[in-house]
Amino acid sequence: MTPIVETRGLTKRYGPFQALEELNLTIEPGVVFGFIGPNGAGKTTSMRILATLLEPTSGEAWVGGYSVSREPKSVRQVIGYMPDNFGVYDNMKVREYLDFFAAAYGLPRGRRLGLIDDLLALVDLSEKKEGYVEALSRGMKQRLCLARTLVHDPQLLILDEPASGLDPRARIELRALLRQLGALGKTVIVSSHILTELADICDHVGIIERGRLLASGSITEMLRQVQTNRVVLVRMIADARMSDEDIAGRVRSIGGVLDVAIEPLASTPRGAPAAVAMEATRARALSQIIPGEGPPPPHLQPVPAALPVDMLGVSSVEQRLVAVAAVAPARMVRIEFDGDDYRLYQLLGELLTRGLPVYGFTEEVGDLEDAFMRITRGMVA
Amino acid sequence: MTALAADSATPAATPPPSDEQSPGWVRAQGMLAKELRGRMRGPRAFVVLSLYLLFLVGFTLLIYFLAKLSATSNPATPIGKPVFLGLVAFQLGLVCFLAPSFTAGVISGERERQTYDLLMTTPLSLTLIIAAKLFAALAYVFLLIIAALPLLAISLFLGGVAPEEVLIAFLMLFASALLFGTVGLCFSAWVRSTIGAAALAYGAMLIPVVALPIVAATGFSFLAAILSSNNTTSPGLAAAVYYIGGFILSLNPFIAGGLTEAIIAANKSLFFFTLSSPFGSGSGTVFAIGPWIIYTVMALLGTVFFFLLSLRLSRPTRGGGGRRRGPAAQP
Repeated sequence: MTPIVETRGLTKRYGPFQALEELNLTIEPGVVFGFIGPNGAGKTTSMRILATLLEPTSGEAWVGGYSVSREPKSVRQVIGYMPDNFGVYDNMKVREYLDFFAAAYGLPRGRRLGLIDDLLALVDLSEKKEGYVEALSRGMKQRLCLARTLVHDPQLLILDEPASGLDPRARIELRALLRQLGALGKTVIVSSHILTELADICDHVGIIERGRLLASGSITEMLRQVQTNRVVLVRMIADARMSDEDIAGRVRSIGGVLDVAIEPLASTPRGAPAAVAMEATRARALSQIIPGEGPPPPHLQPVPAALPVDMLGVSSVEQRLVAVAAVAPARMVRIEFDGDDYRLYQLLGELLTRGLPVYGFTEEVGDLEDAFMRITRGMVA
Repeated sequence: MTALAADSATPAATPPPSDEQSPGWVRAQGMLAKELRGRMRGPRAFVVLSLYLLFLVGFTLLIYFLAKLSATSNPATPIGKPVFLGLVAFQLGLVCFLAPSFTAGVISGERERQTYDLLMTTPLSLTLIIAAKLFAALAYVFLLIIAALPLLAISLFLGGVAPEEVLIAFLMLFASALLFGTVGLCFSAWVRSTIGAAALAYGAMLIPVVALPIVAATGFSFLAAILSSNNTTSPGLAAAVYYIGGFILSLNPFIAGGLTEAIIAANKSLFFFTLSSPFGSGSGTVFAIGPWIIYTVMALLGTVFFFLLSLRLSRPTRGGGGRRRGPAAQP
């Protein structure tokens, strides 16, 4: 598949300042690509070059197969660009604003009328159609600008910090809109400082610092790349028969385990019917794993009368477990582990074989912020 | 959403049906409509035009009564002439003042409003953008000039003014508007702030309007005095001094207009004429072109020059500081 964006050795200097250094980037069609980097890293410079607003000092970039230096007019037909800071025209209505840009792309009048209605509906601004653009809120202006980028149905959207300066509601709305565009099959390049937002909407990211692209690829790949060992979070139901040391010892004896850390779970259910019901369900599952043999632990208390356990229809063994869960804190065991997916499966089996009261087993996947911090600190080559 | 998704399936580059307008025409219409709407919408344009005409009527009445008073001592003097000259001089001053101020914000204003990048990433050609902006800015100046036509017509009725004088005046007014408008446009493309662009445009406008005639008139008078006192002046030198001095003086619209009036008063041709012994006897005969022609032609050439310069300065990648090291292979 021909990439929608490709850069080779893209370099940009402003006098002695090196804004971009030998940027080699490939973005496939249909990808929502997040451009991450600190201020002055070169994100805006890269985007402005791709938008034909800036000439590179050296190197070359292609958008939709067209060279941004030699075929800027063709590139402009392919892209929809939204800069980080933009203004609107005075004395212009929302409908006229979109109509002007649609006409700028040569769309005939008959086609423009319906298109404007569709775009305004997409960005939820239909009610403002006859309003003046300067009277719109910042969030509305952002959405209008996004609609403007779509008037000619571009293959690629280049959005530079589209959520900057927006209030939380406007951010959420914009994020939902970007997800919709991704679902429509648009290729989107979006930069933001808020990495959690990017993680939510992007499937690929590029991390840039001091003009150099440090890493690029799918988020999953990148997170795997930055994580040296796997981390498994195991939730264990409260069982006073086992001390923390006992649990740690049993876990450490399993092959591949590198480190173990145990902490109490903060969210222990305490009498709330819904929480008790949840624990009862877990207990029901647990009772199939741990038979009721052996002497009952001395701390076990009868189920408090206030708890609607009878209503849940659980057996006496389950009731005891529910009671334990209701009165004692559960544990979270963090296991650092070295091994592939098969070894991970074996780890779960080993935990259960060693009589550990496991009711939750998840692999901790690092987030984009972790990846960003590690990569920009030079932890990944 | 559904409509957009459906629309997405249709390539943007689909050629329009034959009964539809061409994309180029659609773009030009859209750009012009946007610029004219921005200029003319709201009460400001109407109020300014009304106030301008009221002021002009007052000014015309003032000249009329002053001319009437002076005509009592010399009844042979037609009243129409001073009314006409006063109105044209006033309009010329207005054009010199208004045209740069109207165009000084067309590019810098886009940059200040942060709308320039949005415009530059559309397929609109830079020539179309700049031409539409210039046209819209000057359309209002042209409107002010044309709005004064009924008042100029009164001077025709009052006598002493030929229709060709009115035509020449209009030509010079339009040429001045174009020249000073493109000067403002040029500075607007060069300087980031509109105030800075306007200040520079006024500074540039003062060169031909104020500085040049003072320097040229002083130098020309000095040389003419020397040549007139010297009986051995060769006709070639006299002609050279006459042409250079006359050319420089004709670059000023007020002087060019005044000289044209003097030529009309001397019953010479409006286009070409000969002048015998311009610097006293023995300095030969020079073949001269009407000063209004020199001014109009130079103003139009200046317009083309400043327009092209504006195009160059408006390029979004201007000052990008870079050329590609070498062509890379197409992927």
